[in-house]
Order: sequence, then C-alpha cells, then structure tokens
Amino acid sequence: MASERRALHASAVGISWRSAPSELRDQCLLPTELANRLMSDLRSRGCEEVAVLSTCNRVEVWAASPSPETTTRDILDLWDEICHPDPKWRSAAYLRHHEEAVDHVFRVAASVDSLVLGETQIPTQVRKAWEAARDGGHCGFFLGHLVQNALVAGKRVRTATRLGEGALSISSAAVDLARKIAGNLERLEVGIVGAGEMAELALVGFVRAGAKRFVYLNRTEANANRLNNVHPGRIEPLERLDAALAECDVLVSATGATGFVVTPQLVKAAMKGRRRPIFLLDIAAPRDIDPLVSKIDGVFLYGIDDLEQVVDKNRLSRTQEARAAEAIVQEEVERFRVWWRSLSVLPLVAEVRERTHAMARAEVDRFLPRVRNASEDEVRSVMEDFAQALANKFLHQPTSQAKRAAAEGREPETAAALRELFLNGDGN
Amino acid sequence: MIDFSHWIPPCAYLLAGAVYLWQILSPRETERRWVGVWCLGATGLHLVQILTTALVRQRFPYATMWEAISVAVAVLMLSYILLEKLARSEALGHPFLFLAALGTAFSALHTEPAQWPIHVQSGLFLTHVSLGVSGLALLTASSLLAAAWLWQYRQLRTKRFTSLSRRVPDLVTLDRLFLAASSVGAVLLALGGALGLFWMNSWNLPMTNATGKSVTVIIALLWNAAIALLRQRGQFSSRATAMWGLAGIVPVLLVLWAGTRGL
Repeated sequence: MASERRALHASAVGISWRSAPSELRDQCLLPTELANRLMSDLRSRGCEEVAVLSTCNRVEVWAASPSPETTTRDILDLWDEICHPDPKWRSAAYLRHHEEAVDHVFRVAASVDSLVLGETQIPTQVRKAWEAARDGGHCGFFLGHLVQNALVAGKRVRTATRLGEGALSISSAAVDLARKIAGNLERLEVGIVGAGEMAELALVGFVRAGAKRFVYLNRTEANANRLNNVHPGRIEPLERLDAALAECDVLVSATGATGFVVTPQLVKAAMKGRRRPIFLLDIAAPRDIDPLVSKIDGVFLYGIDDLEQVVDKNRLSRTQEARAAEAIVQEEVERFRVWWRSLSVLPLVAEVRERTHAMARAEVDRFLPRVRNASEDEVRSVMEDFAQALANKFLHQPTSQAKRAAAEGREPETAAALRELFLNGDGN
Repeated sequence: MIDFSHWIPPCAYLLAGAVYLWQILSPRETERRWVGVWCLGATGLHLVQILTTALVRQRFPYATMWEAISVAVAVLMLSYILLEKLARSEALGHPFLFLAALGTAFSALHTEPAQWPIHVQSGLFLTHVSLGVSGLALLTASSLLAAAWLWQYRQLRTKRFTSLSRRVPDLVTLDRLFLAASSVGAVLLALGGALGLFWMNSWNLPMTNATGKSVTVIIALLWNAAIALLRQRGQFSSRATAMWGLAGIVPVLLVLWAGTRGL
C-alpha cells in the first residue's frame, strides 16, 4: 500500500486584502456550494487533497498533489469557470508552491498575514474550512497534517506573544478603558448623553462588549427613544444629568451642544456621593465635557484624540509582536518540513522493503525442501546456510554498487552512505 | 554550623522574581511563556523546607518571630497564587516575590536552636502564631495591592495605557481585593493577638513581656479599622483609601520589629 502512495506537494492559490480590493475579492468568493464544486472538479483532475478557505478578507484554495504547477493551473481555470470574476483577478491572485505554500498556510492560520494582526476569528475559519473539506472526502493525511500543525502554531503565537492584545478601533479602545477603570461591563451603568450617530456608535460598542444597563439622557425624548430601540434602557431628561453622574460608572457624551454640557461643578457635586471612579468619554465635536473635570479625584476623562493615541500605540505594539510571532511560525514550519521531507523517501523505502521481502520469500522456497525429514542438527546447518545466503543476497547489490562507485571516484560519499545505512554512522 | 536549607526559599523566590522581571523587560522578539510555574515552584520549595525543618526539629517552626516570618511569607505567597487566579493577572508577581525573598532571607539569617520549651509547642501557641502570621501576611498583601491600585490609577489618569497596565487588574478588582485582604488580615491578627494573651495567661507568663508586641498589634488593627471606617464616609475617595492602605505596611513592620526584638 505504501508503495502506491505518491509524493505530495503543497500549493496555495488565493486572493486576499493584500492583493485585491474588496470588490474583486467579492467576485471571487466561494460559498459552501461553489467551494464543494471546485473541490470535486479539482480532484477529478488528479489533485489528491484540497480545501477552500473563504472569508471576507481572503479566498484561498489549498491543495496537495504530485504536480503543484499543474494543480495551480487547474485551480485558476476552475475558479474562472465557477465564479466568472473580472479578468483582472488573475494578476491579483498569488500562487505558492512547495515550501512557500506551507509557509503561507502557517502564516494565515497564525493570523500574522491578517488585515488585523492577531485577529482571533481566523483559526476558527481555518478549522471549519479543513473540516468541511474532510467531511466532503476532499482532505486526507497531508492537508490534515498541514492544517493541524498550522493551527498549533497559531495557538502558540496567541499564548506566547501579545499579538492579539490591545484594541485597534476607537470603540473597542473605549470599552477596554471602561473595563480597566470601572470593572466588569455587565455590572456597569453606562450613561449616554445625546442621541446622534456618534452616541449610537458608542452604544453599539458597549452593547457588543457586554454592557447591559444604560441610561439615555437627551433634551427630546423622541430622539432618546431611538437609542432605546437599539438597546432598552432608562430614558431621562438632560436636566437629570447630575443624578446620572452620581449613579453611572461610564458616561459617554456626544451632543451637538456648542458649550460644555458637563462642568466641573456638576462632576464635583456628583463625586461627593460616590466612592468609585467614573469614566467620562467625550466624543462630541466641539467638546461636551470641560477638560478641568479631569483634575477631580476619581474622574477619568478621555476624548477622541486620547482614544486614537491608545489605538496607535496598540497598532505599533502588535507590529512589534509580529516579529516574535513570525519566529514561532518559522519554528513550526520547520517542524512540519522535517515531517514532510521524511515523506519523500516513503515510496522508496516501501519499494526496498518489498524487494527484500520478495528476496526472503524466494530463499525460503529454495531452502524449504532441505529441511523436510531433516534431523535437528541438519535443520541447524540448513538454517545457517539460509541466513548466510539471505545476507549475501541482501548485501550483494549495495556492495557491488559501492565498489563500482568507489572505482568511479565517488568513494567518500559512498563510504558515508554505507556507514549511515549499515553501521549507524560508525566505522572507519 | 550554618544550615543552608534555610537559604533555599530566598534563592528560589529571588529566581522566580527575576524570571517575572525578565518577562516584563524582555525584548518583544522573545517568546513569552507562563511564568506562574516559577512562583508555584518557589512556594512549593519553601513549604517543603518548612516541613522538613519541622520534622527534623520535631516541632512547628514557630519558636520565634524570625521563624514565624518564614511561615508568614509562605502564607503571603499562597495568598498571591490565589490572587493570580482571582485577578487573572501575573503582573503583580514582582513585589510579592521580592518581598518574599527579603522576608525569608531575614528569617534565614536568624535561625534558632533546635530545642524549645514545652509550652511553646502547645496547641494554643501554634494557633496563636498561625493566625498571627496569616494576618500579617494578608495585611502585607493588602499594602501591595494598594500600591498596585495607586500605580494603575496614575497610569490611567495620565493616559498611559501601556501593555503592563493592560495586564494589571482593573481598579475595581484591585480595590475589592485590597479591602478584602485588609479586613480578613485584621480579623486574623486580632484573633491571633487575643489567643496569644490567653496562652500567656494559661502558662502564667508575665504579661509585661508582650507589652510592645500588643501595642504594635493594636496600632495595626486600628490602622486597618480606619480604612474600613473611612470608606463609609462619602468624601474619602478610593485613592485616599489606597494611600492609607499602602502606608499600612508601617504598622505591619512595627509588629514584626517588636516580635523579632522579643518586646
């Protein structure tokens, strides 16, 4: 069986945020049904294993076949047939073969090739792509091993580096800060002053992060109701801002007022009755909260500029962490390569074993008549002859080839090969 | 003769502290691994050392305050390991580990002879010291947590939301843990002190021997009671409470000083 196994090589063909705009990527998308069609057609053309990864930032086909160049051409042709994308897509597509393809799969699964470095969705997407291919019978030991090892590399990157650490959007930076200042978002009371687009964006950010209790403060109840429809909360008139300041843990201000809505006097009065800090977020233009408020003990005032600085620092930090992540990925790729290289000699090893066994069977047939009706001593003598003959037959080919190679001037490499194969690396 | 086994815990804590520090200061290209195992290892070694000493001397290592400091450090480190779980943070490891190294080094410098009077080995005395050292360990932990709170407060107020401040627990968690450590520590110290007086009385030991220690324990208790009381007042902010809590290390050191001097 092993002798029937052909040496497989990896190939990866795809289009991603790096190589193409979203319009072109959308034309190349391969939803489940189309992906299944592509995988089936590709296998009928001689590709042994195939998997399709289709996300909003990349669409890729990973394959294992004896001839990756042919497979790559087949993938491009089939993709054209199935999706009919703009002809420009071919110049935007990247083609990776052999070790480059392996390296690429590892980098994708470890999220070091993602638009958002260290994003956490990609490992799940890779796993699902592999499971879909496996369940459809398109994926075997090679791609299975490749994807599993790539996922292990991704896990190591996530635990050993800070690649996924730190918010990369203004709203998630605000949520992170709220958590650090006021604690668990589920228990917090979040006040939202104003009902415009910015207020709604902030509300959605906090709702997504798990905040549950909201107070909407606005001059007109109808506008506040709009926010209440996004997530139910308590509606209060703006005149009740002092009470809200005393109760809320987080207060987001995003009104269109021209003057300060939140003044130091108001905050000072509110802080008298509370023993926990308050996070004030001013995302209005012009500003709603008097900057002097930040001088009051227990008050943390942040504006859009501050959040942007936090995001910039996080982006820089992730870029620095990417180097550590790349090093881990390369280590894991090397581990996979070792396994892969061992595969390349498997057919040869299988053939050598097959021939040796055939040789042994022939010798058994030759010696079997001599042991019939033989005494114990005779059997021993026959066995010795048999062992001698088998060893001679087995060693005949290597020794005569070694002599010939030495005669041709290839003595050092022949001696090294003999030592490696028969003397466990020892011998003079 | 110098007993080298007493130097195992300070060396282990110092090593673990260095690993924690390396994790913080290491260049970003270096792969980070979980360092909690070093903390667990050092604490485990310390507990083994305490147990071995107790078995060799056939008594609990509570004979003097110097010996008790070593046990207090073990309790402090166990409370830190629990804290790592509660606050889901390894970033508080440094102050705990370096303080542990210092405490056990002082203890190792003052090893005691093996034989001690019978009344020191009584159950009442053991309970008195156990409660006392646990109380002192928790009060120390409370001071360190207050320090962490003040650091995190300053970072967030000055808008320096760095990688380290992301790993230090949030202000609410630190505040809760600091107050819990202060309250439980004070209760344990009070119980330990009361039992100590009861033990002295039951063995007819002169109460004047414990005057200095009693006074320092009372100061420590009043200090921590003030934290709880001041928290009830509206104007007393979390920051003021944390500063008061950080300064709480002074009465703890006074208790240790009085104890080690035999006052």
